[in-house]
Amino acid sequence: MDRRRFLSFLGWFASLGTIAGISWGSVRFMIPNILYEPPKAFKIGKPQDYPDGVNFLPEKKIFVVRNGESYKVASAVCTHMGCTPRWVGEQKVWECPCHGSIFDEKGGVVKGPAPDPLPWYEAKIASDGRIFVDGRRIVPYTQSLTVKS
Amino acid sequence: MSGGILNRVWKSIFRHGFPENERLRSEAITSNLFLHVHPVKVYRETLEFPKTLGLGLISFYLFVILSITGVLLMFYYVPHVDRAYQDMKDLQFVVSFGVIIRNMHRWSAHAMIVAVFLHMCRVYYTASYREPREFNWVLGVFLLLLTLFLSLTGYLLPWDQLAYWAITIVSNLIGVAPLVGKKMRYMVLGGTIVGQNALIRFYVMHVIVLPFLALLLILVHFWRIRKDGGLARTNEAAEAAEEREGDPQGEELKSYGLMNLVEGKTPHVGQDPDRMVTAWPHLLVREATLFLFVMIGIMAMSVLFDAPLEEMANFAITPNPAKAPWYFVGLQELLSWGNPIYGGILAPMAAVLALLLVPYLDRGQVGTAEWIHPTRRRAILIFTAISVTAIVLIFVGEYMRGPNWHLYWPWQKWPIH
Repeated sequence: MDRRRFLSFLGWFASLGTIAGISWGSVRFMIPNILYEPPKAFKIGKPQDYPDGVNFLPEKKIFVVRNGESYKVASAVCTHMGCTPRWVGEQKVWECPCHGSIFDEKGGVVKGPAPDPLPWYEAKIASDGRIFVDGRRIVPYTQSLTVKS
Repeated sequence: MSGGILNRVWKSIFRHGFPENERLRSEAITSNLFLHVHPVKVYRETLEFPKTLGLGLISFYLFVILSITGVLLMFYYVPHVDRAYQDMKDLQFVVSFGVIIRNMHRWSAHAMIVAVFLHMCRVYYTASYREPREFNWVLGVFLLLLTLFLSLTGYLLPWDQLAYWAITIVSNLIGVAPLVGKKMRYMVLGGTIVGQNALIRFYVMHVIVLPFLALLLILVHFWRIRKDGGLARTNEAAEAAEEREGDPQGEELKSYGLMNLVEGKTPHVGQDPDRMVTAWPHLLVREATLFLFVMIGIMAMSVLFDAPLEEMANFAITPNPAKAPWYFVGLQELLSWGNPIYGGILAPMAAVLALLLVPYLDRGQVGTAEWIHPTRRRAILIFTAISVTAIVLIFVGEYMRGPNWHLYWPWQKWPIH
């Protein structure tokens, strides 16, 4: 490689490299590093605040399902397009208003376009006696929080 | 004396008197920055209304109305989750003529989607995308996409229930794309939920990025019309071939050597002058008239019908049924059938790709600039089938889907929950 070709290569490398670097930086700039969104793990009320059956907590987008001493927490975000399913007590299913997905009481998909069942979140009792829900931890349906009253 | 000064001011701006003869008429076009996008002379045949139905111009006029009303709305609208909806209410009930300006913006946006779509149909059914206009068709496809994205980003801004849930659905649609879906969704929303970050992102895209891109493409689109030899004409291919063969003595080509710098596509001197007229006034008058009709239509709509504004966005309650904007409701309908990758990603991508390839796949020569030429039966059937499918999907999604996305006839009442 003679000097002319080497310098030409160097010039192209520097120019394209600069453009690539700026482009990559601009795309990376658009991906936020910090979010001011509601936390994914949070405390809700005390176990006795929730009556037997399915309780909808709209501001947390979860359902608290109580069956006597057993408590379970399900996500209230449809796994298809993110709408909020409603509990239909008579049929014991959740129905999503957007695309008609139906989930049974275990969260499993009965009908419709939803690709996955509604996830169940880990629930614990915090030191102050309230229920602590961790939306980052998905647990099987069989796992529940048992509170002796 | 004052007449003298006025005259000097006029002359300093326009350089010529009222264009009463052909030379001044051509000067009127070429010496004016805004008019010189027009050719000095145009073919009579391309001025006939049934040839184009004025759909491209109508789309452009709607873009102009949208830009002006959009800037006016920006003086009151603040893209913040605590203020946006209040500002909409103020525009609706407090600001003088606010409701009219907002209605104009909303109805023009809907009308622009329809006009751009019909413009595409016109170009297809008249085979006007053929050589040398293939690339201008491609630009047109991108302009159609930009129009849709402009409408979509504007849809979120009122921050009402309609806006919030439509964008929730569309953003999750992005999320199902294979591999990059989740990352794309995160970048589009600026987070994981439709919140403040999403609102400011959609706003910036809607008022700066997309309109600027659209304007740029519109200008190139217009410029290409000139460079590709004006609007498509019936016999233009035959004429061009004749021209290339040239005069046996070669004299004609030589004497117009300068014109030939631009390869044979510009209106030539001595080329059947009867078939051409000056753009001033023949084209300009038609353009101005069409603009008046568009304005009358949009004003009438805006006075008679108010743009919808539902309750403020509430992320706890999904309206039942929740629907995407009507131009995406066909996609939502497809989505409700099953795997979102087919309905939401592959089907629209295939449609766009097919559109982009149209002018490169068509090898036909006959029927350019003629409506629905019989030799193009297969091409016309395919296009019509796809368009009708899209329209039917939109109709079913919009008018035949009730609570929980159950099927209802349009005249059937929905059960009360």
